[in-house]
Amino acid sequence: MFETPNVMRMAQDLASYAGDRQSLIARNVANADTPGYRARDLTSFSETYQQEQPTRLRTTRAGHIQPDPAQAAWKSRDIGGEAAPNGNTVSLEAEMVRAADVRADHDLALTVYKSALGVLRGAIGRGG
Amino acid sequence: MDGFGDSTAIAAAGMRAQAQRLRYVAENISNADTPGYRRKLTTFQEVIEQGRETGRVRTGPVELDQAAVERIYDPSHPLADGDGYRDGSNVDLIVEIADAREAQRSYEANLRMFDQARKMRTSLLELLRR
Repeated sequence: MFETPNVMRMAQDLASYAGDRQSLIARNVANADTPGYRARDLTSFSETYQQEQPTRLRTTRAGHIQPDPAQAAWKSRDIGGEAAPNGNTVSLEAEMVRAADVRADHDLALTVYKSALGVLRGAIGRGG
Repeated sequence: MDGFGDSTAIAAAGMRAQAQRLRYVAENISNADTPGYRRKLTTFQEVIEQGRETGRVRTGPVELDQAAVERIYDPSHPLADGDGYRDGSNVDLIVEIADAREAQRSYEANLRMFDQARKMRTSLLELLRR
């Protein structure tokens, strides 16, 4: 049976992490003027990935349920920071920096994935 | 959940809300000399669907600034009262311009988020192109 190489799975996880984080940042930016809104961010990828190996239940039959491994394990947290007079803690500058990080993460993930795909193709014999 | 679809929808909602705010600012500025006009304030709320926060934002019901309107001494004006005063508006142009700037800044930030989500999705789809 074909098994996804580890490096590709990791790249996949990083890409989906970047996607989730992007949507959280978009949420913060959209609510930059909402009174009482508190900015949120995901915990860092490397931190989460270390602890990510969840305890799996043993499946002995086809009908046994397994938690979906694709389910995002990242947790969002309140990043705190100074609040504006209306209780809002979003800083547009900080969000822009985070967005640039997300872009870099996503590009990295896709590049790694692409080159791993090239290696696989080469192994099959069609050339990268 | 499609993260990028979510991002673009949220950013679009943000842009819509900021555009609405800019509209109220324009209304306030154009009515700066209307007697008795009270400036409109934009309120922002997070959209909640089926009890869950969606992350999108919308403008709430319009509120009027309750500050006292300006009293202008102008005895020859047809609206002047017995003492020669008439009501002005409570619009402060400086405040309106500052508000417009802030709306523009937030709008641009939302636009940038929209663009970035779009680009990330495009590069993701590039994977299929080989």
